[in-house]
Amino acid sequence: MLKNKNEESSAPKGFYLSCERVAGGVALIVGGIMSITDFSDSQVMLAGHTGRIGVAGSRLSMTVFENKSVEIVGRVEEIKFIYGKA
Amino acid sequence: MVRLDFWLFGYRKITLEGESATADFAAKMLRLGIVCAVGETGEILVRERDYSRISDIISGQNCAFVSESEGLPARFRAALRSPVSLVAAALSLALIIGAPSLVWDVRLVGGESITEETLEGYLEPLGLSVGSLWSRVDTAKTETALLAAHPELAWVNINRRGSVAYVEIRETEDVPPPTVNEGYANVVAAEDCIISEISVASGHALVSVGEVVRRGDVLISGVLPPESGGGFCYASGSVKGVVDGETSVDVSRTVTEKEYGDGSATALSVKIFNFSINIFKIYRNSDSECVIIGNNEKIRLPNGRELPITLMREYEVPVTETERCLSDGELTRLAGERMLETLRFRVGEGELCRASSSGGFTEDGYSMKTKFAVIEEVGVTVPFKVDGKP
Repeated sequence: MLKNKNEESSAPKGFYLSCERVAGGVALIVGGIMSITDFSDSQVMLAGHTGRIGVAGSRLSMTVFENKSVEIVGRVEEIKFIYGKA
Repeated sequence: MVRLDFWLFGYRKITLEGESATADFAAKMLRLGIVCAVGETGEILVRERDYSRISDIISGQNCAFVSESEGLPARFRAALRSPVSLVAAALSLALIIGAPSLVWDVRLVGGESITEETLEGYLEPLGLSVGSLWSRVDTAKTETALLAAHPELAWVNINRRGSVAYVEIRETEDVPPPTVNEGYANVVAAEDCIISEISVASGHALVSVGEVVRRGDVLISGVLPPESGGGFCYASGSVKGVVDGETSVDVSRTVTEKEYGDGSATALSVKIFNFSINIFKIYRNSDSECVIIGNNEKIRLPNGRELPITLMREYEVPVTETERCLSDGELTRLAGERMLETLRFRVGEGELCRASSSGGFTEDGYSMKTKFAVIEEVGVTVPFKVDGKP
């Protein structure tokens, strides 16, 4: 739990994600996902309530969990946060 | 890489045609709340228990490939169906049922001169050996037969614990035959004393408790009185008496004391198994007196286990002797200690019942005298002859 209001998570407001180093790159867990719009080994596009998250990199693999969260493992190079449902 | 829970509980591998199909399928799984893993090559892994729920979705998709069940349960089922597993299971069952019916080991309990190999040699002709059937072994009969065949065994007991035979044995002990006293003898007093206890095994007691006897007096006679039937015998028994004595101790005022200096290493060698490697050794002739101390240290691991490596060191410690005069207190204390040692040696197995000490300083040092009374065995057997016959 965050003690200070100023201590925000690394994600922009409205997106829920955490990241940690694992074998083969990083494991990026994104919460509150409504849909998966695109998937390839170099790009993943996820749609959430606030907007979309685009992950680009290489050797990307993905695991979908029951609680509407998605884990992306691989060499992540770029993460895009796009507000709005366009 | 396959997730561990997928592999443990079984999974299916699905391959779809086209990247957009993979993304659509993953989105449907997300909506249904079904766990699935999508690899970098686009193959989708779904748990076996979720597969029946998504079979409709799979039939609607343009599936390129759906694998059979994979993972540990599938491997296990496949192994069960193979003939090798059936043969192994049958062999294991036969081993489990058949193994306890055989004697797996014969172990020796007790016995000093008889080894396990010797015992196995004894038991083999009687039908009890490693590999023989327990159903054909009658332990009671084997025990009896073993005792009858080998007189060096005094007692045998065979126990079965699991499939191991524990043979407990006791060996016969060579007890020397009792000494038979031949001829005639008296028991006479070895010291001047007052008789405190007398017990006669054979012969005729001539003294009673409280009597004062001189050295050489007959205590138990080998000559039997007429009322006991007369004749001669080898008198024996135990006679205890209170013996008075006196002892003295002289202690010199000057004593020689040894002082040990700092030791210096003279030799170092390492012993690995039975091979000795000399690191260094100093050879020299020392004029003064010295003590050589050897120290063997075994190398141990942090967990306490010994390695077969020993460090052998030798030290030379110089000794210097100095003379010192004792004070009066030290003199009397030393005299008391020495007197105690002397008394302890004199009393031996007897019982000290009285002791009084006195002492005085002399020109050389201190002299201590102690008068004591001790209860001890005073009877000694002295054989005698009758008309030249022993």
